[in-house]
Amino acid sequence: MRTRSSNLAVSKLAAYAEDPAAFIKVDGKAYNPKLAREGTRAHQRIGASPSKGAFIMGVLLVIAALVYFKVIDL
Amino acid sequence: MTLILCVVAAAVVLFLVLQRQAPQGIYRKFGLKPGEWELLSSDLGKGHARSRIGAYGVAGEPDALFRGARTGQVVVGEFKNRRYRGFVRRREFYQVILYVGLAREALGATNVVGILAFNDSCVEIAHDEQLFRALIALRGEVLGSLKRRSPINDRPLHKRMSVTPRNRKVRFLT
Repeated sequence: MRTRSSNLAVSKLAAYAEDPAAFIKVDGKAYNPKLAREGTRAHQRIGASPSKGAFIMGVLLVIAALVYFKVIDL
Repeated sequence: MTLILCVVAAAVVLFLVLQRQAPQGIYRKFGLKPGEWELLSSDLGKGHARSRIGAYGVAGEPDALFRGARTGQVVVGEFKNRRYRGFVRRREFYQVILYVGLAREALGATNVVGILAFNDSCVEIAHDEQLFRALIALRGEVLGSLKRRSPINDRPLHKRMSVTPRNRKVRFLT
């Protein structure tokens, strides 16, 4: 469902309801920016697809090892 | 040359299998079985359908939305990157109460529950219409307080009303 930009974020409303003074003190921003960044990274890891780059690198390393140990000749 | 092609083919197959299994991490996080629940949207990981839900001038993107394949029940999942340690923070609880209420409005569903997932545990949160309405009613106060940079009313919500009549088992930090 599309919403207008004037909507108030759920997280901000929840934080205000918990402690209005603390919420206003940080101007509605994260209480601990470092923990917030770690949380974002943890969110990105859950259910993440495998990295294409890591797979391509892995394939190149296996081929390089096969060539190095003379299992295959180029 | 054949061996190189075999290595590439094996890597592609492994990649596709892992890519297909990726959403199962989301199901596991919320303690749900993939065969019984359909993942409607999620902002966890990457490449999943995402949806922002909103009503009454309040909006947000829950970490995951599921629908029961047979029951039609909707589950709103919210993940917190910490250990449970036997308590829920009130802001975490309010967030789920808001998402459950907004999901009821946005999806036109009545059977909606929330799951608050931690790194080591999950807590189920039931819909509480009275608390949801009270939270929504705070919207103007939040905007006004932010504008004047001082809280219009500095009493936390749990000191204005009982916030757990529908969720008696939920334990808070203080």
